[in-house]
Amino acid sequence: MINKIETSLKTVVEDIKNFYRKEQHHFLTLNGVKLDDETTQVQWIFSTYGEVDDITMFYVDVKQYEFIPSVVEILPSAIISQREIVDMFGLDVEGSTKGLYLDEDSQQMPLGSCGI
Amino acid sequence: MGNKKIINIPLGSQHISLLEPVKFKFACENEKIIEVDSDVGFVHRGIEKACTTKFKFDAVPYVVARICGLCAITHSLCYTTAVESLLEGEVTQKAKYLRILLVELDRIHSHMLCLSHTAENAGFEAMFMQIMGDREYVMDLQEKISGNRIQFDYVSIGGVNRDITTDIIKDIKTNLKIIKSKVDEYIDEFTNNWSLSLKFQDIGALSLDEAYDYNAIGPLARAAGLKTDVRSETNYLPYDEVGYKMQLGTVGDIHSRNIVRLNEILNSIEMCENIVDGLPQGDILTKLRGKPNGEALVRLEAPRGELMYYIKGEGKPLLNRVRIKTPTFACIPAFMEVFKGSNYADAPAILASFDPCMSCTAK
Amino acid sequence: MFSSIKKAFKNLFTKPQTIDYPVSPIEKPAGHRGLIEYGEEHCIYCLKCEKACPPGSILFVHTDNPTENPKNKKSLEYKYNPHLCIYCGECVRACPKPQEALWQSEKKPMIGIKEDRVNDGWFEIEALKKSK
Repeated sequence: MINKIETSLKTVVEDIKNFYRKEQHHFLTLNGVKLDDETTQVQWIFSTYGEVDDITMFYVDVKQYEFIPSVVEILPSAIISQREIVDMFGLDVEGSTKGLYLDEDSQQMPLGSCGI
Repeated sequence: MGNKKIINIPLGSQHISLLEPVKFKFACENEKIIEVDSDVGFVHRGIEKACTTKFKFDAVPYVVARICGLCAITHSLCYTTAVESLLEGEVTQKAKYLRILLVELDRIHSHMLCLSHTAENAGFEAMFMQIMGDREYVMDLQEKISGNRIQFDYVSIGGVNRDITTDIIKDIKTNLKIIKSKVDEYIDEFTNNWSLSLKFQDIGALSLDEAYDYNAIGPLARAAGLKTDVRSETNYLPYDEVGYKMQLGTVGDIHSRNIVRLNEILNSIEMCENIVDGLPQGDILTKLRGKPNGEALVRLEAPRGELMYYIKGEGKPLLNRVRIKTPTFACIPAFMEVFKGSNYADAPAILASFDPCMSCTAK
Repeated sequence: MFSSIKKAFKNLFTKPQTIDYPVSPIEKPAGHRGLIEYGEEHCIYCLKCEKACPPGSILFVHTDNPTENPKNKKSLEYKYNPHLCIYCGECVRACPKPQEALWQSEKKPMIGIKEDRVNDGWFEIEALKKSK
């Protein structure tokens, strides 16, 4: 079962800090889903150690020009998933630039709203 | 006091000890590594985009199996389980048991490849040749069951493709007995031979606190003492009926990772023998109707860690989003932390003990 | 420690494990995957195999001299590319008459050599199909 919790860009870092316990929860990855030509849904996915099928997902619907804060101080392993979102969707995340899979000065966003 | 100079040395994209291209840039001060910078996207092929534009949802298991050569059946099985949860119908118990049989045989041959590569990095080339020669017994079994040696193409939506006969069951039991006696000899060598046990102790250690911080997965985390394994946290496949046990280490260096992998091979051999003795009766393939509509998230244990698939469909033949999270991709922050503080000359041996699969990382 | 030295000494006198193919043949087990073969008399032209193939290596194209099968109402002809096929067997499972019209044999597929230019004819067939 997936528990989906909606949050907003201003409060997402606070919500994750109140929720995440280091020895109890496991951070899986960051994910983006294209909803239509202007909005993308960004998801933070967690699971619990030792429990069967217990998945929690925080999600926000963002537009193409909005600024997404970084969660690297709470979750140090999120740095590489943030770089992948910047490459594939063309969004603007704090502290990450293009260069993981595409060239550093590339204008393409294969899975994003423009779909080039 | 004079200033210490900092030199940048690359472990470049072409190197003698690497199997696949990856680039690390180390900033070293008198042979100790201080800072690490990495580049992993050399083999990017754009598979997530191809799965939503060019191939229909019932051809995607064959596309996704070709992401990686060593963990091919886990990618295919994870996607198939996710799609089956959005269609109408049930998979029979016999098909689930046959799926676990091939996943565990795949885990045996993948761990043997990693152990032989580690032994080669220690300078013991005779052990590398011997483990590769004994791996042929497992590849023969895989060819008899599914028809191919590495890319099985065994899993379809609704079950499996081919049935298993009594001749094949006799061959499975003979070959597994031979492999078990060889693995017992390897455990003896890896604990008592000085060039494989003394050389690797206290090198590349990851402590339990760091494993919790960086969310490590797979044999890397279990060797440090963290109790995490997807086989005990999900119930898509009946692992508790065939005798699965979690293997843990304590120290977290290269030696304990080798011992954890050897113990996992022994546990997999025991599970395969239990499956073949207690196989239920029934069909192997059921027809499922409908088109996928909704969201699904499925996790499975590949030989290198935890694999996750997230799919979203809207009732059409083409899917809306396929998100793949591979185990090596999630462990890269943990790799970069382990390199800091160790000698530059140990870097190829540490990298080989993580078992990196770069084709899975840059999909 | 000394068991590895004893084993190395024993290995001096055993024969090597490599098979020197193609001088000596390889034994293949029963039921390995080979070429797909077609029996035209039993085919009903439902086109299910064309929809089921993942890489698209079976195509039915329009032809000017069709066969005398009464089910062939649109004058189609079967074309198969053995170099694009992945030998998965999905077409055989999708066919309504699996052992009479379409089946998987155990014959070895042919090798693709660059000088033969094996794909040139196939590109024309794909262009013909797309323009229909």
